[in-house]
Amino acid sequence: MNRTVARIPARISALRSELLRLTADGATGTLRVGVDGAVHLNEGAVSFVECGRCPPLKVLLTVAGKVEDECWDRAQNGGEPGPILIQDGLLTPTELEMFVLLSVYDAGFALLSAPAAMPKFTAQAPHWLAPVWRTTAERLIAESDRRAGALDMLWSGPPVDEEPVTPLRRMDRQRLALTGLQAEILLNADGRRTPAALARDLGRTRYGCLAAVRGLAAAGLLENARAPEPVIPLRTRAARTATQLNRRSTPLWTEIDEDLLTRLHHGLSDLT
Amino acid sequence: MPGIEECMAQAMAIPGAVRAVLADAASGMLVSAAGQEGPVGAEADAAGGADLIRAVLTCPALLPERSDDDVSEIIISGPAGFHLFALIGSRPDGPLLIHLRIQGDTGNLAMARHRMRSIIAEVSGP
Repeated sequence: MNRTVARIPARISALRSELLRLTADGATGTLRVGVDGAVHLNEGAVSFVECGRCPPLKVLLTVAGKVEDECWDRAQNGGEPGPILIQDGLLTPTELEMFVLLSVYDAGFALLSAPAAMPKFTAQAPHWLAPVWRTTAERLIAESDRRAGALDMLWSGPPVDEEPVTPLRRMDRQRLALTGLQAEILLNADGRRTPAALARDLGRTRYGCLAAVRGLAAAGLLENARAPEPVIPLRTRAARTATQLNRRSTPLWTEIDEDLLTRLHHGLSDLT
Repeated sequence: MPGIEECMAQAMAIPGAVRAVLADAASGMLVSAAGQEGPVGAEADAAGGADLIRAVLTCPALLPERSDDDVSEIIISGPAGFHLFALIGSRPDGPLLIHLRIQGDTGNLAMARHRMRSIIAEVSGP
């Protein structure tokens, strides 16, 4: 936990202090964070949080099979998608609450644990969720810190949160148990997308994917999270190197230096 | 149709129920708690429940034989009573987990499971 706190740069603290100041003042409006982050406030309470690095509420609901895409859009045109969907019997209030919780704390963690531009507040009408849902800034911050600590408990080796997920190509074990989400990530990982990008594409929470990826790292299933090789006695080194070469999808060779090869060739010819 | 607080009240109305803790199964985040404080606080309870679910889902000895055989409940019982962990929704990352602690002398396992299922069915809608 201490490590997490120590890592927080000044700009994150700026967001925290601004958020706490606004909620203490009982502000109503939107606090913009960077280009795609926002915390919606209503009379000092947090009514919704958005972050472009997390799948939006609509995506969480549609992927879970709760609401059709068109139904949400139609309800959104009415201005208040949640209450309209509940009225139409497509969603229960508890379901809406559950998904709002997932969405808000996922975005809150993403915003509060990463460096961002200075937040900018604009006083404006409250978010449509304000009448039905609220939390406090303190709760949002405490939950964000708890999540950071929980992630560190899962894996604290080489960082994997912002790296493309690159699964091992070969397994040196007989069997393996994974959670459904971990399997989903392995099946969709392409060595290019980061955990957050996979979360957006799969419609899963960003935090859920970060935790699943850290679990994969801890299980030794990620190429991009290999601990540094320990010093190995000479005799076993050859065997070990052979397996490593097999594991690598593309050998890490440098460009061929023709000049060097020519000189080497001449040198060898001179020897004979 | 009930909201989260109403569900918690219904869970606590199950005979023998002394404690109900609702958590997000993927993150271990506490959503709501009702009843007497247990041996640990509600937040540790929620995080521990999520750890339990993860341990069960990744335990090779508990792998299902059929692909449609998802985990819906975990029951831990002892002489003084039992713990019922029920998953609400079967998505890979949750969404919710309810931990219900029931006293052995006033509660009944079959009754608790039955009541919990109907609460979850009501929550999850049609």
